[in-house]
Amino acid sequence: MSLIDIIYGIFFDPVPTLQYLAREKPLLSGLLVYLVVFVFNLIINRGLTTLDSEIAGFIPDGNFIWIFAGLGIILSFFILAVIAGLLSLLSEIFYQRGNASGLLVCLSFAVIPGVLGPPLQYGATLLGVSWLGIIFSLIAVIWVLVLQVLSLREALELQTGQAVLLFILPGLFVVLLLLGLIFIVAKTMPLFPG
Amino acid sequence: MRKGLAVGLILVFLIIMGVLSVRVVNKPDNAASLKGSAVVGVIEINGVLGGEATSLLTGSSADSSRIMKAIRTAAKRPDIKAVVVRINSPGGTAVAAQEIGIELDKLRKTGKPVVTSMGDVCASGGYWIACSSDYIIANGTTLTGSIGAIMETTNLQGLYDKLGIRQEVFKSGEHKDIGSSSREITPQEREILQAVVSDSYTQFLDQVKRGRNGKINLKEIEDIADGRVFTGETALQIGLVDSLGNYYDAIKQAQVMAKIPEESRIEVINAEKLWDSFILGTRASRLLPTQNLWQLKY
Repeated sequence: MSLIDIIYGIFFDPVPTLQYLAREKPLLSGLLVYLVVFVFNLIINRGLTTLDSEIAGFIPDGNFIWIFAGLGIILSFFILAVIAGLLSLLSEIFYQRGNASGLLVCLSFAVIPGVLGPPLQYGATLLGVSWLGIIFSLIAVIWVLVLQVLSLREALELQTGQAVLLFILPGLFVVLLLLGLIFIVAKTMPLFPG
Repeated sequence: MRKGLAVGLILVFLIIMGVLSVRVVNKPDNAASLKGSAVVGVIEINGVLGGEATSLLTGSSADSSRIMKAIRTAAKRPDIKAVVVRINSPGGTAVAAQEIGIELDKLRKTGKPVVTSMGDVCASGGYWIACSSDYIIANGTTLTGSIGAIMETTNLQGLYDKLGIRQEVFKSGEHKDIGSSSREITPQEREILQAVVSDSYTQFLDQVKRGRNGKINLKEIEDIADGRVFTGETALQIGLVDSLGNYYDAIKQAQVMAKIPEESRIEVINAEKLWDSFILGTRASRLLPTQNLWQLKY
């Protein structure tokens, strides 16, 4: 499959494409696509901030953005790798199936539809229909989330229900941990000391 | 073929949006022109007025050339319908104040209203600039006024004598080393320099009279123009400012004067970038003293 076939497949025929990616693991092109999507969205979002800001000079200006963006790129690659590893590990623990590198490639390509959200929002803002742009962005986010669940399903060869559960498990764990902490703090600390 | 076309179309769309976005990021005025909205341009004047730019080594200063450039941008851009000059300056060199004032006068001639918003301090040269606006708003506790001119020189002859330093001067004329720090100033030189200061002071008075024409009694200006400072509230009573209010009141005033809606965009035209201070701060020339020993200041 060429890169064009993969990009087309992610948009219009995701399941066989993700199966191919999980099997063949084109890691370099996957990370490259992820980088391009990240940088492109950054540029568009910067344009959107400028376009939307009430006070143009007061937006967190200019170069700080690019410094943060550089750090963000490094951090996002790190998070992507950690998430792929963590989910693969959890899958091995719960379902005895793991494929960290295949999942990393699938998750890298799964962000492709996310490249449409900000430009559509940008276009809608230019046309004066910002609300429509927000809906476009939301659709793009949901699309990526669905593809990420599909990535889990195809890379780790899980059932859809298992993939969904695995996908929300880290988030669920964090929420439960926070609730537990709040509960402990509430029990151990009186509301009005003294 | 079908796949290539689909991916190609998506790419073309993305490239167009990317280019539009980069244009807006690089030049914020494109944002307003793309949206077709009116803009209130804000020009910030912070620090001591002079030809020196802000840097990490020289500290904060209001560089007149950058401020003039911002004023010219405001004059040229059709989307900017009004300008608010936000001044937080105790004054500075006479020329810097004068240059900025002249540029503001040209801007007003284009029909765009100029409103001054005073920050903590808007005194001396800062007030000179304010006089080149159509409307002045001060905060109640803003320090303003200080109408006058000053020139200072330090006589280091005693110190030089102690150190055994003697300056040798070769000059083409009697007064070429006027204000020299290595000797006592002569009565004739004192007279010459005082004349310069007095002439400069007269120019300042004329500027205030022009700027506050009809808003303050001309006789009263001469009575209070002895270098003293006033709070914004006292300045209002005297007539040095038009009303009391903050930055947003100034924006609103500018919108009213330009007859543009309240929701119009506000853009700081000369907002400083992070790299500016880094680059200026590392210039070698900043390591050396660049000021003359004496300067005419407002």
